[in-house]
Amino acid sequence: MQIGGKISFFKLKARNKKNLFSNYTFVFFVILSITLIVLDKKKSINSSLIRSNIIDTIFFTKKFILSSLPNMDKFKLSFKSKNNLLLENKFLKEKIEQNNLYKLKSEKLEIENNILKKELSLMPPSKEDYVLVKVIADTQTDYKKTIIVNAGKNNNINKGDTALTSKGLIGSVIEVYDSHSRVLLLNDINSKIPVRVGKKNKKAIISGNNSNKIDLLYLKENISFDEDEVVYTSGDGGFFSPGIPIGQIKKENNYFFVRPFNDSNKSQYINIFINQFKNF
Amino acid sequence: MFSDIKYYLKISFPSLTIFFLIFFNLFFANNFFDFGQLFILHAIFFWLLNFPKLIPFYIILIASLVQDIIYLSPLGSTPLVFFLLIFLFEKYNKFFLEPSFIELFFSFVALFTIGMFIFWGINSIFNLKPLLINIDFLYKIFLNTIFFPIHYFFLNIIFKKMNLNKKL
Repeated sequence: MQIGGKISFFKLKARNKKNLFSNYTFVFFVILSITLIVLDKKKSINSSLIRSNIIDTIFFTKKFILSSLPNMDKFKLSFKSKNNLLLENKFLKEKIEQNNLYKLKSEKLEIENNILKKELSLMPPSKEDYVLVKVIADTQTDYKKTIIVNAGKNNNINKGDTALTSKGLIGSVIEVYDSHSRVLLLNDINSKIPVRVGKKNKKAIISGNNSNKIDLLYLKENISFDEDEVVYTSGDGGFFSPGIPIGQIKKENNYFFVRPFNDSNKSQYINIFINQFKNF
Repeated sequence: MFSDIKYYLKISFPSLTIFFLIFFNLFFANNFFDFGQLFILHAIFFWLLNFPKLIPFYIILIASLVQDIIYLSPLGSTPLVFFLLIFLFEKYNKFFLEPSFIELFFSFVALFTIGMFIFWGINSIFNLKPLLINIDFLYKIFLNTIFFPIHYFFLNIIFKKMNLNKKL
């Protein structure tokens, strides 16, 4: 194959090339693809079982290969100077002190919050459990916004559980495999979440559109919002606990949309809220 | 024994490059360098052009189904896009492709862009409404356009080093 050469792109000349494949083969594979689409859409084949086995196998193989490679961190560490280590140690100690202070503050706030909730009889009869998981594959495409995390049935994760970070809601679990799960992100076109907006608790439903501007649906006529009002989950329908922050209202050419707090492209660790509230 | 292994490695090399591109895009390409589901077209295009015998349809079907499983697309949608692109390649190959890299490059960009639109069309049908075409759509075409010559160059070197033409 010659790289470079005379530019003759616009020359239309038929070359006497042999066919790469027979027409029957091509037709057979096209029909096979269409049949697979129809069977999958009609749920005639258990695609979630196939996905579960293949995804677990892929990530198990990746883990196995990575674990058999030599650990480069050890080599890197041996090149670190004593001064660097001392500085790092000092920095880490400061961080621990800072974190302890935050922990104390948050514990105090949690106790206060629980007392107030009890006073208001708002305490849901649920056990709140979080599982911290790592995002191991970003499987977002132009038309599907999902990520894969490294916990599944082995960590009691169920379909419909809430995925959130310290900033707020990021999505919900849509498929659970043996040791992995798939999270549908807020901005996916199939994501619909009941919300309330701002201090006046205006209700709406947010719907993703595969971009980072989330639409607000089912609003009353002539309703208006202030910019930067915070959008929370309303808890309607019982799929999400109420009061989880989602994003802020933004306005562009008289069009209101929600800008999520979380940037799904940057999230590395997320919490899966094993949501007992939906059984309430 | 070793010559057998070498032989099987050689004949499976084109298929391996396709699977390598799938897993490279899944594990190593971050959001900035997300090549999309049509990334394996780089390898399919090269091997169809140089050694179509070594890239049977069932390999393309399996590779595309793996992508459907990973990216949660309806099973069969990615194979359908690739088979339509191969059909176009077959027709296009007879008229346009000359042994000039510039022509191949433009042919690839044209096929890739058509593939992106077929993907968009299929997904719009599944969602029962026309989906938004955002800047990411154009960015993916741009990114793949830029990286195609690099991949082509490396595959070409490997192809020549392995002497696939002579020995098989």
